[in-house]
Amino acid sequence: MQPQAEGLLTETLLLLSNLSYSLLRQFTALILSYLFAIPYGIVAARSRRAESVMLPILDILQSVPILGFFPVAVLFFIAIFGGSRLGVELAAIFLIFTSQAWNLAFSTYESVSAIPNELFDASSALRLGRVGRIMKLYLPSCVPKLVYNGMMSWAGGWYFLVAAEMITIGSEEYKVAGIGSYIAEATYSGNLSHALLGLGALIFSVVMVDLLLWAPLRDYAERFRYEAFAAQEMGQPTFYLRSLKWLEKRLRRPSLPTVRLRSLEKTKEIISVVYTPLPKVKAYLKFVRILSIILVAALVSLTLLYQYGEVIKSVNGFIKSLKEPQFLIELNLLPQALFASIARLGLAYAASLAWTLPLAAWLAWRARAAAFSLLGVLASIPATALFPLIINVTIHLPYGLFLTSIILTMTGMQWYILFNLIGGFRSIPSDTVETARSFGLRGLSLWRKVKLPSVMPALITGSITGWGGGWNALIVSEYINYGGETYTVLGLGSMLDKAAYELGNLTLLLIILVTMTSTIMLMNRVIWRRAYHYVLDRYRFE
Amino acid sequence: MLLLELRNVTKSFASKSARPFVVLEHITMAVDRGDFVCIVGPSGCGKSTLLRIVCGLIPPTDGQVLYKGAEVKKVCDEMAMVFQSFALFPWLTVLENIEIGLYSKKIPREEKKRRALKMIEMIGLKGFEEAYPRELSGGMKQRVGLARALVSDPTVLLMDEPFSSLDPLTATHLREELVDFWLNPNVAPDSVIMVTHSVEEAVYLANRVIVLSHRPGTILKEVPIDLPRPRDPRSDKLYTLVDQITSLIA
Repeated sequence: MQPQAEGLLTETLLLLSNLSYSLLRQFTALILSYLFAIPYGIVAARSRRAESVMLPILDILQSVPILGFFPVAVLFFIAIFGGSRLGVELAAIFLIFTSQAWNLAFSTYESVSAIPNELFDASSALRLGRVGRIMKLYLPSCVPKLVYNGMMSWAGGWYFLVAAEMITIGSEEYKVAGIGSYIAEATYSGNLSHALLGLGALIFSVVMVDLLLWAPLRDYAERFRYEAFAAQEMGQPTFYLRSLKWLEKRLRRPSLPTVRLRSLEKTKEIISVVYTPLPKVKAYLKFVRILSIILVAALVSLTLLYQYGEVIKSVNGFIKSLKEPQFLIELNLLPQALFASIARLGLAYAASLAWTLPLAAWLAWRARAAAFSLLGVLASIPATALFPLIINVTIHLPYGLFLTSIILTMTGMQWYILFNLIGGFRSIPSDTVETARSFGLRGLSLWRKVKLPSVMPALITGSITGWGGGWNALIVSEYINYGGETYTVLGLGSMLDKAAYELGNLTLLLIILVTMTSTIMLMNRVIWRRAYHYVLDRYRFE
Repeated sequence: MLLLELRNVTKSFASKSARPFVVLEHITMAVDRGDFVCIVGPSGCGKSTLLRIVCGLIPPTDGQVLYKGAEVKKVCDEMAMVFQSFALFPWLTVLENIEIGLYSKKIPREEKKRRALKMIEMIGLKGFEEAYPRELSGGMKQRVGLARALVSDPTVLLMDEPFSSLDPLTATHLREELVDFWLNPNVAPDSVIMVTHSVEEAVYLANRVIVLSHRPGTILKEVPIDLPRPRDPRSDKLYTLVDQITSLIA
């Protein structure tokens, strides 16, 4: 009996310490993100010249798949800190930072740009001065978006953190202790009960942080809107569950800060649109190009001046790495891998649409509160935490590897699409549907003539974010660590992981990352942005 | 006594075509102590721009604005402005919104609060000190806007279509209250310049109506309004003047 109890205690302590590591990383990264994003956004919004440089930079940064940053960051920080644990730790924090900072900077930029002109005039007429403006105008105006997007980023941060922790368990050298690695290790060692325990602890802390941090903040942020409650902008799938109400009641003692749980009615309203700002990229790119050329030239000449010997050495190393047979083999695979990844994303997209479209329509019109609660719980789980459990089941099926990679990719896509679609369906004016019905449209023709066209804008928005999430998911879904073995399918994601963790070839890593980023940017420009404007022109309800 | 003088004020904005876009041209006018001046004109004639130039919010392209003989080069701290869409800070309470009218004044915090509270009482918003703008009706919001402007005890009050985003009934009430303020020597600013697109409103309120032409805005005519106060907004004399001015614009 004694040793068993002791084992339980050690296991609990291990779990708790892993959880606190993860939480600590999350909070550090969030604070750093705010510290970066707020000044960046304000400067970009207030200076025309700064805007022309800062916005395109943000646009590029936002297109780089976040998990793609991770191996680069690991190699970089480890190089700096000479392989100490601090390097990996910083890389993990940096990863979450990159998943939050750009988005929050855009939020700040948009909030400050959206301040009505008369308020600027009033601030000048009242002679608020620089400090007064920041304190009374800029910062308050950013609060709603910073809270809302902070909450979204926090949820996204979990996804990436857990993924990062899992990626690292393969190699002893880069291992990061955290809840993600805990769940993965438990699963791979066949200890399912511990894995479930870890998952439970993770969900519990996700919910608690939402309840104790974000819910009060959300209520507080309401005050900072220009007009009364605008449901669209709050369009986050807020993960409130009826089953949590009892928890809330127990939590609410007079001494605690009041935590208000939104009524379920309101929650339904809130699940409207996952709001994605479409970055405005202007014709200032020329200026950026010139500036970056100057910058690069300056950097290059400076390094050449001071580090002549070092530079020659590393250039030699670089050339040598280009001649490595492994490098050339991998490079030859690049076009095929790109094609395979896009095809995989296409399949995952089709599969996501196939289940989300009918479900969203049903949920939007018929669903009861309980369905939303269930959905809330499901969506609040960082999908990456489920990976080991999913893999456990699917890998042994026929075509297991193929299937697994598609399913894992879907986890990065489907929620964005689902929640956008629900919002889209809910915003169809009921008289539009009634009118159509009165003219005898039903079944398929009702879908084709009314429902699908009206939900198009939401579908496009969901697709843009969904594909963004999908590209990220590729990096963890094409390269699977399972039970001490590594399963890979051909794709950009697996090539990236291989380059980082097996070959350690930074050149290759960067080439793949650039390929991926430019593909994403190209698809955004050529397909999504066009589709978005086209659809908005044609299908929007005024 | 001469308070404010505009000399040959011209404002143009750069435009895509080669020629700049001229909004105001050769505006010369004077405002004396005790003047209530209304500026009317067709929409887009630069009325609001003119008011912002007077206040020092934007510089004129050419010409000068003189306040008590000195050129206005930055926002003048003896003028205060009331805005069309109220321009209240949504995140500040009624009290804080009025206190911010004293932001740049170097007086103790308690004194600011005392004066703001006095102002709240005067505009009839007692009990709403802690309310947020979104909880107020349009008329109440503009009262706060007016209180914020008046709390700093300005010499010149500038008003940019202050009643045009209110419903007609509320606007009528508020207009009458403005007249009450104007006639109360304890609170009244030395002079008021108000921009409006309603000729009736201008004739009802002003001592003098300045009529601007369509783009580019130039002064078509200055019409003195000698009707005794309190005025009857429906009197024949008032309507004769309204017709006279309207025919100038149309």
